[in-house]
Amino acid sequence: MQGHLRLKEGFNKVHEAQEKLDEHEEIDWDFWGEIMADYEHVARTKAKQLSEAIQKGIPGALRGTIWELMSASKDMMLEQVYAELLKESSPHEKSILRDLGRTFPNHEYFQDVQGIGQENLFNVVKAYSLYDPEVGYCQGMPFVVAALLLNMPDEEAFCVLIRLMKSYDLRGHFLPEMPGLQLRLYQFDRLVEELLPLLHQHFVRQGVKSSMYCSQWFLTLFSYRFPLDMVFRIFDIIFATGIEAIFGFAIALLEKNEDVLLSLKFDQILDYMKTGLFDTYKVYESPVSPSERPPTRYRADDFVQDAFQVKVSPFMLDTYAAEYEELLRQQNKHLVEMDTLRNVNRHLSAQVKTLESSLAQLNTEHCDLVKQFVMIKLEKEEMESELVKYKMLYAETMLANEDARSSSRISFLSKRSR
Amino acid sequence: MAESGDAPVDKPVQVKLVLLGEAAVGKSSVVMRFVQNDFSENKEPTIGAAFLTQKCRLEDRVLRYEIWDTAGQERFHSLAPMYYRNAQAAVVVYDITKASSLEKAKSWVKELQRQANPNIVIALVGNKLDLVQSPAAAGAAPAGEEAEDEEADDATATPGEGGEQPLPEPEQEGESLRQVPKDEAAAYAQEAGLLFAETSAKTGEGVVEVFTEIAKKIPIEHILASTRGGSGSRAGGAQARPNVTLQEGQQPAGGKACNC
Ligand SMILES: Nc1nc2c(ncn2[C@@H]2O[C@H](COP(=O)(O)OP(=O)(O)OP(=O)(O)O)[C@@H](O)[C@H]2O)c(=O)[nH]1
Ligand SMILES: [Mg+2]
Repeated sequence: MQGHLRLKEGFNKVHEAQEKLDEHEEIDWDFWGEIMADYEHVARTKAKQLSEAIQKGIPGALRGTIWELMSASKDMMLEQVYAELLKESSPHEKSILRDLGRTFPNHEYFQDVQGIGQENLFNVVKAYSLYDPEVGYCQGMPFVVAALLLNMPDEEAFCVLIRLMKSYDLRGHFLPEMPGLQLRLYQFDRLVEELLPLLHQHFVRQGVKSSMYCSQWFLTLFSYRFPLDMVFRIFDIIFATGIEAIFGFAIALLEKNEDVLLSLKFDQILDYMKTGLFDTYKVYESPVSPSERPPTRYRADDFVQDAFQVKVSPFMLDTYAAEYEELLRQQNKHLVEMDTLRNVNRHLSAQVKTLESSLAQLNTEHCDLVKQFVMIKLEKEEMESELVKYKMLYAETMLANEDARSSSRISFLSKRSR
Repeated sequence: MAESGDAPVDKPVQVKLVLLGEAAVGKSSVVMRFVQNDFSENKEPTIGAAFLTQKCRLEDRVLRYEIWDTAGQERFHSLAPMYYRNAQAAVVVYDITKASSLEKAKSWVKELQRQANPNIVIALVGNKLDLVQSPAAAGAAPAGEEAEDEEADDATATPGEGGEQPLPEPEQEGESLRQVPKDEAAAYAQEAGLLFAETSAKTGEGVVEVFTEIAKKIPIEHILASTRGGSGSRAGGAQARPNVTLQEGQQPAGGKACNC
């Protein structure tokens, strides 16, 4: 109830202030009032008008609340869970702390180490790491959270984050191995190939892969280094139409810069992706005075319109997703095949090894036998020669014997004859 | 000089280099110091990877580094092979005030030696040297063991770096923050066959030298030969890599070696 009053009050204040500011940009404040009062009803009965209003941009002061309404994130139970999680400590605390000052380092709200910005950022990211231990903490996530925190209090940002992760399927971007990101990068590649064939060819020739520039767009929902007014407009559309909106914006950026990109080489392309993409949406205002440069403004409406012009159908995305699944399956099959082959190989190697060792054993045995054989042969020869020796000795002895006998007979005979 | 007819001086040799190491050790800061001679206190984490280029002048040669600065968090590990696959050089960074980061660096080195280009030149770099040199921290530096360590550091540092650092270093290091002794990392680097240096991306100390040292070790003729499909390789070209000549021509002021 109180929140409602606060909202209403805030709405009125903003309304007045804004009306003075943007006389030319007709914002239909009555309609936004209606939306704030009963979003469900408006969404059901005036869907087209609602979507048009969102495309024109949610008024800054209402943005957080509308995001919450669109994602149906309001959840008292979850806010309570958040309050509980704040008391626990997370194994990822060190990593989260390390990156705190490194998220939107040029934004005033997040600059002070002791400030509320960094404190809220820490709390939400830490609580999430406890709430979803499988994801835990992943670099890139704080940028999404920071964009939320610039539009709503921390407990609400926590609830919206959980919606983004689950209902909007951002979770796959941050899981280990990042399966969701891999899939969307594949889908994006195919979209570029289909919708911007010239650019696709140029990128292939130059060796530019989407993962080289697009990972950070998708992981941070474009909030990494792009102008915040544009980032919020992207978030508006994501909350309204779903995560697939990122494809429209990414393709629109390439399409809008196609001519330039086609004239650039590998390193220039990657550099341009970091710094030049939004130049085409810049509003060039003549400075009021030479010393006072107005802050850079962007034609965010045109950007959103361009993204809406991109023809990305669910059918295309589904087809590409199926292709990707098939690719993964093939890859897996390949891996499995490789694995079995490797196993067979290992088995055969082992067999070869045992065979080799038994061969070696046989060889040594053979050697031994040969040696033995030679020895025996030698022995045999020795014995033979010895035998010959004995034989001769025997013969000699026999001879001697015979001699002796005959001589004794002679003497006997001669004795007898006397 | 006469022979450089088919290795034109004006056409720089492209060298692919990849930076690896644990999150927040200062990979992006080291590159930013090398490429833009700049430093920022709070640098966004690298998401995915970032690509930069920088020329590096060496004697009569100009190298052009094509640098992939990768994300440090473990979750991005699966993307890394794409960036180191064709790299001719790698800078593996750790934070000298964080012992665990050296372990991570070692595992990167192992992975590179197993999976990357077999001729890859790897440099191990201990960053954030300024954090152990601050005069404020010097008072807190404990005596005893730590002092011995410092002496050991000096002893190992003198032969290699003597010529490059003519300025006497203020060795009043605030060693209390240091978690990785210099000699321990240097010994590991030697054993694993890596170049080694300690740097500060913040002050710029040692940063450019890392890239010049790598440039000297890169088998340039090899790269030239391979990029031209072999037509550029002269007889004995591969062996003619004038390592010694380069050493002689080494400039005492390290900062001037690279033409940034
Ligand atoms: N004191 C000091 N701080 C440094 C130095 N180098 C980097 N830093 C700081 O350390 C933090 C991380 O630096 P980065 O260069 O972003 O580290 P990184 O390794 O690229 O980190 P990831 O991209 O997350 O992997 C930043 O806040 C830097 O300002 C240094 O030499 N000295
Ligand atoms: Mg980095």
